[in-house]
Amino acid sequence: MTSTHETTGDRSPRRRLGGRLAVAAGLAAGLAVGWLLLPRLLYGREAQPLDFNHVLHTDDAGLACQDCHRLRDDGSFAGLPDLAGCADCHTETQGDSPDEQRLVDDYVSTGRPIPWLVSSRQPQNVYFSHAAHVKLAAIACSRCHGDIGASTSLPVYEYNRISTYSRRIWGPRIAGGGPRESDSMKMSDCTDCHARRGVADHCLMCHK
Amino acid sequence: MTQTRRNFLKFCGGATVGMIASPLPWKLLDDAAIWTQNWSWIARPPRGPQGWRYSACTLCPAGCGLKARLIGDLPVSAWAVPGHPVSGGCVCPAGLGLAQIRFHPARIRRAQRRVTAPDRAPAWRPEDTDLAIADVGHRLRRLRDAGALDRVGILDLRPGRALSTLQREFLARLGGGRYLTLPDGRELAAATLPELVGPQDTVPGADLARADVVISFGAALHDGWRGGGPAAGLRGDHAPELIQVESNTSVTATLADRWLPVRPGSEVVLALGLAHVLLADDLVPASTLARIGDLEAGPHPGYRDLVRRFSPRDTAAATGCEPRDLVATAHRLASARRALAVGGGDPGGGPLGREEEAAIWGLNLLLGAVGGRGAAVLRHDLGGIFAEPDAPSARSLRDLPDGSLELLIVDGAAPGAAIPADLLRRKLAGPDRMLVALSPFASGAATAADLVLPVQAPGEWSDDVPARALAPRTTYMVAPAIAAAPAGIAHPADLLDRLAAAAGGTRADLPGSRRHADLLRRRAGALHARGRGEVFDPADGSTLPVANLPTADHLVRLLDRGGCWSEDPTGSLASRPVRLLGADGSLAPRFRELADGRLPATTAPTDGFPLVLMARGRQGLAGGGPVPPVVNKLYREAHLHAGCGRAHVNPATAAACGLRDGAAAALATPRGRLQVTVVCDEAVMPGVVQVAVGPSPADLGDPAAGASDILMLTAAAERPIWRVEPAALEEVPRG
Repeated sequence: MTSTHETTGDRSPRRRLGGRLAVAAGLAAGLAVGWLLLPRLLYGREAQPLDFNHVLHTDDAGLACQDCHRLRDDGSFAGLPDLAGCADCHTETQGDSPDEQRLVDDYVSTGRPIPWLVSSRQPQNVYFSHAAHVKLAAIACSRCHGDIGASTSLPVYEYNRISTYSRRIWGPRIAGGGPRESDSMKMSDCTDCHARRGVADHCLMCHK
Repeated sequence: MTQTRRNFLKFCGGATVGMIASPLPWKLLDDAAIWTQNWSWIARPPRGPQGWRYSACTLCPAGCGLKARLIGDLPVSAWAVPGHPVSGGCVCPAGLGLAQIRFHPARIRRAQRRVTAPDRAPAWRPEDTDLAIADVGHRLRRLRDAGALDRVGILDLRPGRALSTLQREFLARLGGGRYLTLPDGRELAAATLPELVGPQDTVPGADLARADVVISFGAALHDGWRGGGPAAGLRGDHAPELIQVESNTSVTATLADRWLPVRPGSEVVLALGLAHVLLADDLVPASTLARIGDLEAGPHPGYRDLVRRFSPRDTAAATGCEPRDLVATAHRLASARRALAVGGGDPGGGPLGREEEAAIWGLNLLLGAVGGRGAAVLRHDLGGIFAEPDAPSARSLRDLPDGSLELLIVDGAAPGAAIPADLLRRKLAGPDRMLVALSPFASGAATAADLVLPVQAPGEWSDDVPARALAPRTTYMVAPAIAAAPAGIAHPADLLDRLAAAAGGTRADLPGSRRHADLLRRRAGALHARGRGEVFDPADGSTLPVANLPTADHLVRLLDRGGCWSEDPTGSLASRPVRLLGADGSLAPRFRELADGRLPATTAPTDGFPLVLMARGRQGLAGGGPVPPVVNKLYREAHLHAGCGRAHVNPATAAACGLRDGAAAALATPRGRLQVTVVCDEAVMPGVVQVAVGPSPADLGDPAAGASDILMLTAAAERPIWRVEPAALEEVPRG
């Protein structure tokens, strides 16, 4: 009687090569799905309601970051400028930009707040004090927000379809982070920076 | 490549390995975890401008300073207040959860009527609160009409507050009734001192943080959870040298500079042994000895003769402490410039006995630690300062004969120590007996109740925080509300009003909450009128003498902003005559029994009960208060704290009982038996079974989650001291 065991052990080099190719093809496919396809499927993209040219406002108009992104009197961060801040200069269009035209027509004239999609917005269970970091620790805005202040156009807002968080929190790489320190805003980035600077932290310091 | 089933499987295997080597599974797992945190029904803190509000924690009597961070009007977190006179910039995990505890699963918003028997885990039926109040009012009216208002009692779990005065006023409006308290170990320790030094118009405190050496007889100085803040001065570079006398390796024993392990219940013998060495080795100054009225024999046996019988060798035989350690400890205490001995008992294990506390105070008196920095101090009592009506006079619930009451109303404050449910129940008798709890949560003392009426939770109303027993300074704070109460939930004073109205009592001219606010202002006015002490402003950490405040309104405003009034101790016992055996020598017979080797009967193993059960608890938690969800993770994930229903035993004890770690076992005492899970723990002394008191923190303190009440086995309801109890442990099959 010939056993199955003996039959399988008697395999030709061609069959063995085929098996190895199958493993390699599967491996390549798995890696491709994980590294290339997943980011495309995982993240959705959404356009901002208006485009915004930071360079135009800082270089040409001579504004500083804190002229629009200001701290309140009590030290807390006011976040994005409200519509009144925009309306200070844009009750009428000052150029021929279609986005500025829409700003005036759709928002300033109607008083409707601009529904910006904020890439750097932290989850709701996190509290972050801009005053402590900007004023007390004298950390530059670009340390966390990158070169957004030098951009002529807003990046497309990308969000995680499962967690709904902005991709900016996790970073551009699917494995997390990016080539620059400012590419991600995860908790590990916060704790790493605190550790490097010798700043104590604990859960309730940031988590509400 | 041939398409075969084998190659297909290899392809799948390769693909699986490839995906595992990519971020796909880990990223999806991470995102899925975040997704579960963002389900629509999970409450989320709001966005908006932040603000701060200063207050104090009212989750236990310690009263640590807190600052709450608010988004809009909603508190989202609580922080410690640096430099606070009471808590010194510390706060325990429970206090950090004050902002969240309002949302605890045990929170009640309607009246809850018990549907299970008193000896079973509680289950509740929601009921219309107005109807429930009418029911209680009807019972009160019936008792009053029958001239039986002495069968009505109100139990104040944190006396000395403005609400306490309104509780007395409630009884006065009713026309009678008993105002009851339940002193904890610290209060009993403070009450023992006048037995040795005569009646005082001041109350004793212990300035632990500024002592050079502290010898603690089982005090849970570092085991605090709630109450952790006030122990803050015992840590750090300038902390006193700590000698812990305790049977088990508690956290305090672990952090102490020296740990003297003693047999359960033998602390008093050790204290008298130390006194023996102090006297025998002439370590007590002659001027101190001259003030001791009963040092030598007179009408009663002398203190010196009694402690002479507690030689190091005899003491070692009774306590298990090495004679050389005893002698070295006594000499260390005598050589220190400021040495202080403290007792107070354990929040879950119960107070020390009268003789233990008297022996400990006796040590302080011998060491000269009676007045001044780092010593036992005398400070003014707030009751005398406020001079509010104190009728009906307070009486301890323990002193009340069983069956004396038909209706007992229990206050909703979280006590600092364990309250045996059976102690409350056994005071009731009669066909219509009823235990009514006024509580924001169906936990703690409320679990023993027949009816729970909802009141506002800690942080939702402005309670006041007087200095707790044995505090080193007289302090007074108002804990301003940091959050709005849910609609329809009454202020505790308003609920008393509604009960009084339902019972047909006399009406007050103002609503209860208004009278409570007025009372807080009058208290601030009384402090201002004295012109003494100082007030701490948490906003900037400054301290102002009260005399510098131009009007009482300034003090009112500071207290309303979370300020803390404090006054240094004023009295000293350094020159007063003392009697170390009590004014009438009543301690002498008990000390003589101890010298004869007769420890309390409960401390010795007996036939069929070869082990000793020691209940232990954490400040506040032992009283069964709710566990803030935010810190519940500590229990679930870290196993850092002993959980209820788990019997911690030394591995040698477990082996002797034929038990292994994790085994299900029956813990039996002469009072009954409970099923427990065995935890082998090197920190527990051989022969001892240690069980935590209170509801299981792992279940968020839910009393219905199966936590067993270990105090039922310790006869805590029957006697004031229940720290040790003969016990047995035997395996039972799981099923």
